[in-house]
Amino acid sequence: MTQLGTPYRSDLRAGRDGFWQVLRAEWTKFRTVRGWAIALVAVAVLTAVMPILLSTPAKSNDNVTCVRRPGGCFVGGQTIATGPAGDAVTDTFYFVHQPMAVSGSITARVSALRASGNATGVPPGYPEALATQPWAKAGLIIKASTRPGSAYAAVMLTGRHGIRMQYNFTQDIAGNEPVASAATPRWLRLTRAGDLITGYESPDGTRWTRLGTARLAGLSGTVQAGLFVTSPDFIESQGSGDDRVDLPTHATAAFDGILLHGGLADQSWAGTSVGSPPAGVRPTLKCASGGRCKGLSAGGGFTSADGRYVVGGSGDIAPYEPDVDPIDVAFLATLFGLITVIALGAVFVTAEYRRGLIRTSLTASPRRGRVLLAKSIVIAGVTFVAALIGAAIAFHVSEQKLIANGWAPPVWPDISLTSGAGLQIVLGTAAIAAGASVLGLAAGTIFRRSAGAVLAVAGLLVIPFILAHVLPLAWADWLLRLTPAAAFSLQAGVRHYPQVNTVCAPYHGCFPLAGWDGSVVLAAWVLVALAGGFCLLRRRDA
Amino acid sequence: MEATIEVAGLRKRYGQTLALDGLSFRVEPGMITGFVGPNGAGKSTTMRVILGLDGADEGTALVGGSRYVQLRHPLSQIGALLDAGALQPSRKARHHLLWLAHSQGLPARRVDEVLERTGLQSAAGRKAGGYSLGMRQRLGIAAALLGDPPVLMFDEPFNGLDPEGMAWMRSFLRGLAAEGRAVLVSSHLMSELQDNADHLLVIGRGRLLADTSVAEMLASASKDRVMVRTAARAEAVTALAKAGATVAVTSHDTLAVAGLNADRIAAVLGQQQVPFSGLAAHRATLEEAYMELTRSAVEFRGSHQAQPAAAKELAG
Repeated sequence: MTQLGTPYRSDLRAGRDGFWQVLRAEWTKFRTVRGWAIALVAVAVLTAVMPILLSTPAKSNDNVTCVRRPGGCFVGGQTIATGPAGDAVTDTFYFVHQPMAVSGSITARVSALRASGNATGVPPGYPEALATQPWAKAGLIIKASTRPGSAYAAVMLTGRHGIRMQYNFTQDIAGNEPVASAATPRWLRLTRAGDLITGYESPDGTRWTRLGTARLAGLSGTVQAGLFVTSPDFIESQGSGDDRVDLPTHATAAFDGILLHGGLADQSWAGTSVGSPPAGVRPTLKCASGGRCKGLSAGGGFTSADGRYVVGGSGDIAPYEPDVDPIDVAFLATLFGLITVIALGAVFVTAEYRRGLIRTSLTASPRRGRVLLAKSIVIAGVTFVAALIGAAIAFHVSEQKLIANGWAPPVWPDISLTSGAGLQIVLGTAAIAAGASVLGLAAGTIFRRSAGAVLAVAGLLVIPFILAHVLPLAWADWLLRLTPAAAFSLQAGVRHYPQVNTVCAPYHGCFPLAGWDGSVVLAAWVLVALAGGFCLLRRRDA
Repeated sequence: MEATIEVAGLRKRYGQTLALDGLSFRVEPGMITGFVGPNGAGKSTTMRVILGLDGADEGTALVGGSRYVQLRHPLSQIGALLDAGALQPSRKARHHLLWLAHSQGLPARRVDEVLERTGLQSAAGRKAGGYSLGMRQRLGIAAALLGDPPVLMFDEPFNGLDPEGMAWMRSFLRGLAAEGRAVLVSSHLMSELQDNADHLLVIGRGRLLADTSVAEMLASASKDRVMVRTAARAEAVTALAKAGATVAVTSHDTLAVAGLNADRIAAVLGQQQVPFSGLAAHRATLEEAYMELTRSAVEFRGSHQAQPAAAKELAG
């Protein structure tokens, strides 16, 4: 029988035992494998170089370049004005107006907003082009001047979006009461007190509901107040967006009970076709063989009898949205770097499974959730930084190239790295990379093999985004709502507004979930994948 | 409570296979405890359960009185080498130890200490993928020693070692036990533990077959026998059996005699005038004792299965 020895006592001082130690260990793991550092550099280089290579399209054609003529800048026959905030806007409508002093109000009853004009040039299969457009507008407007792009506030009846108050192009307030149809008569009122405009609506002219107020910076002195009607282009795609049909439309509405306070003496109603391009740049309507039509029938007019005014107009008062989002198209190329990111995230854990090293990791840190979380933070952090550096370089260089090639203001927004959109593209690209790496890591934990993990994540994130560019838009819409590819909305350089009718396709920079909303979908997927990985990691024998 | 390993009633099933079947034992400090059993007996499974890597269906495994998952600084409580190949090949040996040290809040200085102790300082800057098996074993032991734990557990540390490495490993383990640490070493070969282990846990088919000191096992498992060389085999068998011995024929001119000591055998044969040319006392080896213990527990028995029965027949 052997005797018991004196039990061993270590004089090694125990270190701290917490999450920080696990995190530090995972960071040490990552930085001590040279292949992973090389892959990280590859991510930065691919993210920087690929968009730059893709951002050199041929000098943009008439359809995208601003044609400068007396009267402004014209794109495809459309006047591009600059709004109060400096953004490109569409400001084309028929305006029946009078000057208004510093304080005053205008009231009128609007009825019978409906499409008008002839069916010439409408290709078969698009009967909606002849119907009242959802965003056809008829109502009252107070505007700094008749110059396109000047500050304004308006209340209006719309084709299918009820009563709205809108101001300075980007702002849109919905009325409380739904309207049965655009033909239902509604009473509208705008009051002015200096630079403060308030909008009201009423079903009968006696019970008034306030819609909202707008402070129009710099609105002083005499302004123009009156009635307006406009109707935006009918734009539709029945496929993936290449078959886009773009047709001008025209609408009329009737106004009566007009009451103007604060008007100037000896004035009468004058009609102006605001923003209508001069005849020289107004293209005739052209329909290509594939059914693509592009053009704008401008102008409008009004008639009056016994205090009843019928006004007809065409165009839109809205932010201008270009057809193509060149920076978004260029940043499609960040997908190359993204594949590397996904693989790196997967390998960060599958390499441990392959060698049995995961047992050593879980022996060192028996609380398994901590290991997974620490790995996620490390891989998300390093891929975020690599992609951020790459995206900043890519953005800076490709934006300059695009501007040099004619993708320039005012038609295309001049987005700088530090402005909202530029920052969102660069930070967003880095955030997508970070999310993709954690998806790769979580899938690697679930499958314990890198090939399966990379395929799964690519199938979730990369493939849907590519499909969204080729599938019919209705399918693309769902893909970009449900899959983590929704987060690519962060790479859009052109902002889309709900009050602008457009073909919402990814290469227009248009996503069903705009901006950071899309990243919420990615974040949700990341959380679900991590939760799945955690459950399996905890339950399974290592 | 001393920092040791205590296992009680462990049961673990993988699908149809019952890997552990009510296993209970305790590892004492200050000695090397050999954990022996045929391949597939459940040694590695037991070690994984102790480390919280695999969950047991029933029973408990405690390290220093706590379940592994509840340990603070686990590597300071127990160091383990399960698989010397569990390394990222492109990571340098020193960095492998460094991340482990960081995970325990230990300083980088500690890495140098264990590298020195395992004789790896000069190779620390090399990638682990280029290490020989012997060096990997040393690196695994260095990792186990990082937290300077009072309990150590090594799974088949002699596997694939050359004689020199084997000798190093033996003296190293001996040194660890001499410091007062509890050292649990598994092997499927008793010969690897024979001169080294103080205590033995013999396991077969997930069950503990013996929990005994080496001396006890030697004494109890197999009676001493005397080998008798004789040309008159039949007469010798008759004479010795009559005197109360158990006799087995081992070859055409040798008998293995149990139950009588050499002096008594010489006297009996002399009395009966049976010629014999040699008597040799045969001490049972640990290996034989182990074979006897695990024979029934070996899952896939070879053709030698018939031999004990044949020997018994002859002994009559």
